[in-house]
Formats: sequence, structure tokens, C-alpha cells
Amino acid sequence: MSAATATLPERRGRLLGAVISTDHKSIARGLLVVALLMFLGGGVMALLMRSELAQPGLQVVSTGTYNALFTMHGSTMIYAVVIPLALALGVYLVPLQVGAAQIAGPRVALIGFWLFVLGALTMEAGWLTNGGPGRATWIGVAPLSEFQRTPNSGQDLWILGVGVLSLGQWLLSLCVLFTALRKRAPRMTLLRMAPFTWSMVGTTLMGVFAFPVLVVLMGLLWYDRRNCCLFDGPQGPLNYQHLFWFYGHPVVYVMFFPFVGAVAEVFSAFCRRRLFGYEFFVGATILTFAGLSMSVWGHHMFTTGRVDDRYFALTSHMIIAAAGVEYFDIALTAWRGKIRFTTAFLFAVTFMLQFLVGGLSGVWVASPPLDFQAHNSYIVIAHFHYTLFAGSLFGAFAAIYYWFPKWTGAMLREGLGKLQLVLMIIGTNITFGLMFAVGEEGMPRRIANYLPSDGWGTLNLLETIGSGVIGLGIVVFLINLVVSLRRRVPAGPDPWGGPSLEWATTSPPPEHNFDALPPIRTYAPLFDLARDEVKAGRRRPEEAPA
Amino acid sequence: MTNTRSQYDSLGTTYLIVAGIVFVIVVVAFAFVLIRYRAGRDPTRVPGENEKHTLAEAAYVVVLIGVTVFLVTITFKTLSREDGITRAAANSPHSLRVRVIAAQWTWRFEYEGRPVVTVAPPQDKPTPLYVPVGRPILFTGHSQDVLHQFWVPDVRFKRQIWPDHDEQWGMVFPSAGVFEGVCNWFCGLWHQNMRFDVIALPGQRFDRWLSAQRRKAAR
Amino acid sequence: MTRGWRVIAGWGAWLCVLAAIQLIFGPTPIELALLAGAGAGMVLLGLLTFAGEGRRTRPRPEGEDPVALPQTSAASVCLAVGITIFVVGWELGTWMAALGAGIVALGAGGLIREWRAQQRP
Repeated sequence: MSAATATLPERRGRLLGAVISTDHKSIARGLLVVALLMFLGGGVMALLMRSELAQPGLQVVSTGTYNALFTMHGSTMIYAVVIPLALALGVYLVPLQVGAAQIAGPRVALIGFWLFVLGALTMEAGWLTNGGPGRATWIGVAPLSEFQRTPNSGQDLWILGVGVLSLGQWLLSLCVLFTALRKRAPRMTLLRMAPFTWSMVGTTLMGVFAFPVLVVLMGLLWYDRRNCCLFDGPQGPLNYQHLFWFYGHPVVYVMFFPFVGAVAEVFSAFCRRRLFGYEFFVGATILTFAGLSMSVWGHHMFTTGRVDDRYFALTSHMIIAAAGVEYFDIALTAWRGKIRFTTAFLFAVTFMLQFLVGGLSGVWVASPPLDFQAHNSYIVIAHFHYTLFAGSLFGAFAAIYYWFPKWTGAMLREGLGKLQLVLMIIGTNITFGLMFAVGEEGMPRRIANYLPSDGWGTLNLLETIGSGVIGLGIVVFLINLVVSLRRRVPAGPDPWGGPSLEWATTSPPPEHNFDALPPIRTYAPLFDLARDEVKAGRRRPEEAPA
Repeated sequence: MTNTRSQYDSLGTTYLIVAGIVFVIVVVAFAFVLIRYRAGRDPTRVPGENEKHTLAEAAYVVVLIGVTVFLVTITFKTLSREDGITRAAANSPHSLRVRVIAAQWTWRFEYEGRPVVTVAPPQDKPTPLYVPVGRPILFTGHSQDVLHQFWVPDVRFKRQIWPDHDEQWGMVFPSAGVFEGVCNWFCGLWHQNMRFDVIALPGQRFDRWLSAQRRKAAR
Repeated sequence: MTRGWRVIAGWGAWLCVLAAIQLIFGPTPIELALLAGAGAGMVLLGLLTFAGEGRRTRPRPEGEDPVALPQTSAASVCLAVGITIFVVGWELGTWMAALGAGIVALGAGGLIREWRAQQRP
């Protein structure tokens, strides 16, 4: 029965059911919807910022409002969009990929979901207060975030909201982690788990200690604002930065791993080859990359002159090996494959190339002498927008175009998807590519206004135009969503011929996920099944995956 | 005496070359694979078997580690050279010592010595910071309220400064001229206005300027 | 299925190795404490997970889950709402914090009831 023909009591019942449902698929859908809405809000904030920066002088917003905008744009995108998007993929897919009937700790997951939603709303509630929302950057660094310097209640709500939503995100990651480690189907050994599931294990391992550190830090900041002195003295601001970045660095990898895992799956499906170098991929993702990510946080603090520059430069550079292995394995999955250029696959390829720019610029800022110039300039803004937007968000769209049929039973339109991709590629590279240049010229971040004599006007104008093109791409995506859900093209259980277990059930899956599990012999069980069918003569030879 | 700008330029060039080579290799590799193995080329082809290539992958990891070691080594060397600037400025008893005092939202500079020369922020204009060309200068930075950051983009160096703490660093300004300085850590409402101008004068002209300032301050 | 704990404990050990490398460079106390603390914590979590594994006596037959799947949990939502209201009450007033605490109690009680109902065959 489609939503349009359900009666009012049925729709109300469905809504209530969605609110209190402990089904991981329902929780994940909720996370996706909330993340998308927050993305639109954060995007509007970005467009407002870009329209202000297009020319020297203040034309669109006041300085105070601009300061609130960049604080809330960053906070919204990180705390309320990309992290929940990453977790949503895990919450939906990990139980399916390991052949489980449910997520581990379904009630904990539901508590976590609502803590995230309510925490995010609390954080944004600052917009409704007299003094406006938080305006001490997404980091909330003391001393600026202390009561004496930023007394508005919006800042209080920001602190409380960030604490509560991070608590929720922590609970969600614990559920995903323990699903992968303890809820696998009997023959699903660790080394038969799908690459995406392993990327979620890496993600949630980091989350175990990263999220609680932020919750505690927000508690400390709250205490400091109501009493005093926790961040005073010569060590105070340093302690804040240490604690924040001990959360903050792993969290940016939380916002990367699930998407590189998704891209690995997409490559596998559309090249018709199981992931190349699986053991290396698992070793690089889990051991090296995730562990290193916990040990590099000081590179955000090189310019304090008070951290161990050499240690953090070393560990930050060691990531070259981990990331390089992942690239190698994904690229060689396409080698000798049989490649179909679907929208999902095109987004995945674009991710690989654009994220590379982000990654290489990351190696750049991992070097303290280079970071002494780049830190807090538009070079760093370019770097993290290349990794998080040009990278992770493009990977997210690859994941969406790939798994939307599984989640909804309907296909997304390929033509609109490719139009969205082209618009986003053009807009993204103009907007963020030019930021490398304007940063090298010395433009600092977090300024609403600059002078004509600075000479940054032309680049900023072009960047603003680019951001408009990105906006158009997102509009095309929204149109695609609406059209695809209203005029449904049924997907069936396995529209792409995917390698992993989620394709062995209906789209969307029933509440208990599987009626029967296929045999699990390797990390690409459905590819093995397809090969069996070719051997038995039930499918044509050229349909055999590798 | 080396300076942060030349260190940055040489290190940065190497990093850029390595990054450029890596980028080109990856793009070419992907382009080749995607064109060569597209399904449309031969729909009846079966995808190649996934063989074990442990040796190739291990060799590749060794190459990656080699690149890492190379980059880390040149970074450490550059760091040591830049640390040397601070050491030279701190150890030399005759080097210029300037205190940097940041407050929301202005800069003040104090030239140590007898008597101390204070350059206060002028109305609505960036505070001027006069420095000699080519000599190591020891800066001691301190904030009166929140975190600020002292950044002179032209010499490729910045440092955070915060209250209850004196942060010391050495700098050399290699060429004469006027260079922009900005506060580079968001410090509240008028952060964007918190600028200073570095005015680098050739040695003797700077000495004359400083003596004149000292005479003015003594009166 | 009993090997999952090794991933947690092993990864924790790797963090401890990375923390040990800090010692070559002379770390500040907080740098060492954060990373070594996280590493030790993960190893501990891994061992606790291992201890938890020991309680399962036989492997579950394929496809069968003997524990009934909870389908809804209003108590969970109640608990989350209560926690948020309690916390926001620190900003908006004691009355709100008290209200939140009450809702937390309600949610916690509801969760205990739900859990007990699930244990009954």
C-alpha cells in the first residue's frame, strides 16, 4: 500500500511505529532523513556565507551573524550530517551484511538515535534565542567559549546539544560494533565479512573512545561556564585543544571510513569482481588507519609550539601507507573487471580522485613547516572540504545510488543522477579548488569581511559561483528523490548483482531480515552463488563474477 | 641565516612535486583501467579471476613506506632548521626582542631594552611592526584575553598566543617591504579587523628608527 | 563467533604500541595519557568482551534466534527524551531538570519492564 492511499489512522500508526520501532532499518531510515534535512539547513548556511564573501565589504549579513553562520555550518555538517550519515549506513547494512536478524542492542540503538535527534535540535535551538546560536566555532575552543567571552544562551544550548548528540552517536556506534563482532551468522567468520562491514568496524572502534571524550569535554566546558577556571592558566587552552582533537581527529575518519567502504562495495559490484587484496584492505583499514587516526591529533596543534611536532608529523605521514593500500586494492578491483558505468559507480570513481586531492593536501599539512602557513587559512578549508565534501559526500551519494533500491524497493533515476554528478563535480572543484589559491595568498578563515586591497575578491566571487552550482546539483538530487519515490521503478532483491548478503533478501528486507541465508564461503557470498549458478548452467557464462 | 619563507618554499616544492606525481599516476591508472575494462567493449567477456598478489602488494607497501620515510626526513630536517632560528634569536644577547601583546581586537608591540618602546594600536588602522631585514628576532607572545594567532603570510609562519603564558619564537624577515599580518585564530566579534603591518627596513634604517623611538620614549 | 574480542583487544594493543612510540620523542603528559589510556581501555574492553563470550554455552543453529525480537520500545524513546530534557534543564531551569529526571525514571522503569517481558517465554 503506498503512502498516498493509506488512511489517516494507518498513517498515524505508521508514524508512531517509526518513532518507537527498534528495527535497525527503521532507525537507519530515521538517521538518513534527519541527516538529509540537516544537510539542507547547513547548505543554506554555507550559501549565505558564500554570498557574503563574494565581494569585499559587508553586503549580506552582519559580522556577528556571519560568526554564527560559520560556527553552525561546521557544527551542523559535522555533528548532524556526515557523522549520522556514516552511522546510518552502518546501522542499516552491518546487520544485513553479517547475516543477523537484528542489530545488537536494538533498544540502545533507539535510545542513541533519539539522543542524537534531540541533541541536534537542542544545538540548533540557539537560532531561536535572542543572542543567536553558538558562535565560538564548531570546536568551541576555550577561552573564547567561556562565559565571560560568549555569554549568550545559544552557546549554552550548543554545548548541551553537542554533548547529548555525541552520547547518542556513541551508543549507535557501540551497537554497530557489537553486531559485527558478536551477531554474525554461524558461518560468517571475521574474514568473510564484507569490506563495508570492516570499514564500519574501524569506524566504531575509533568511536568507542572518541565520542565519550567530547561528551566529557562538553561537560567540563559547561562546568567552566557556570563556575570557573577549568581552562585558565598556561595549560588551559592547550588542554581544551588536546581533549577536543583527541575526539576531533578520529571523528573526521569516522566521516571517511564508511564511505571508502561503500566505494569498495560499489567498485566490487559494478566491476563484477570481489575486492582485490581483501586481507591487506582489512589490515590497512583496521590496524593501521584506524589506530593511526587515534594518534595524530596533535597535528591540529602544530602552531601552539607546545606539542610533540615530530611524533605527530610521523604518525600523520604513516597514514600514506594505509591510504595507499586502500587505493591500490580498490583500483585493482576494477582491473580485469567488467565495468558498468552506473551513477553509483561514477560517484565512486569521482570519490577516489577527489578524495585523493584531499588526502594529498592532508599530507601537506601533516608537515609542521608547511602547516605553519596553512593552518587556519583557506588552504586548510580547501583540504577538509576536499576530503569531506568532494570525498566523503560523493562517496555517500555512491552509497545512496547503490543501496537506495535495497532501502526503498525503488530505483533512483540514472539520468538525473548523472546530471547531479556533473553539476556537483563542476561546482565542487571550482569552489574548493580555488580555495587552495586564496589560502596560499594569505586569506585567513572565519572572516566575514576582507579589504579590496587584499586582492582576494575575484577568487571569492568564482568560489561563490561554484557554490551555486553545487546547490543546483543538490536540487537535482532532491528532484530525483521525489520522482523516484512517486513514480516507482521496482528494484527487486538484487538489481545490480551485488556481492554481499544484503542482496539475498527482498527490497526492503522483512523485519527479521532474512527468510533463509545463502551459503557463506567467502567475503562475496552472492558472487559465489552466481558462480554456482553458472556452473550449473542456470546462468550464462559471461554473467559469472570473479 | 635561513628564514621560514625559504624553508617553506623548498620543502613545499618537494611536497608539491611528489603530490603531483602521485596524482598523475592515480588518474592515469584509473583512466586506463576504466577504459580498458569497460563492459561495453566486450559484453561476452568474463571478468578475470581474483588471484593472490601478496608479493606485489607487499612490494607496493615498501614503496609507500619509502615515500613516507623520505617526506618525514625532509620535514624533520626543515623543522630543525626552523628551530635553529628560534635558538639563534634566543641565544644571541644582541638580537632584537619584541613582545607581542594581543587583545580583543588589536595588536601591541613592545621593543625590549632601555627604555621599552611601545607601539600602540592606531585608531582603525593595523598596528605597524617595524623589523630589521635579515636579522633573527625573538618574539614573545602573550594574550590578554582569548586565544589569538600571529600570522605573517609572506614569511610562512604563525604562532598561537593565549593568556597566562608567554610563547617564544624566532623569525627572520628576508626582504624589505610592507607585509600584511593578521590574527589567525577566531577571537570573537571583530576578529577580522585585528591586523598588523610588518614594515621590514634595511638594518641601518631600522637602527635609526629604533634609536629615535627610544629617545622619544625616554623623554 | 568467539573471536570478535580479539579485534578489540588487538587494536587496543596497537594503540599502546603507538603510544610507546611517543616515548622516543619526549611526550607531554597529556599526550601520553590520552593515547595510552585509550589503548589500555580498548584492551580491557576486549577482555571483558571475551569474558562475556564465555557465557554462551552452545552455538546458535543457523537462522534461529531463540530470543524474541523486540519490535518497539516506547520506553527507549522516553528515556532519551528524559535525558535531553534533564540536560537542557541545566540551562532553562530546575523545574525542567526535575521534569526530565522524572521522565528518565519513567523510561528506565519501562525498559526494565520490557526487558523482563522479553525474558518470559
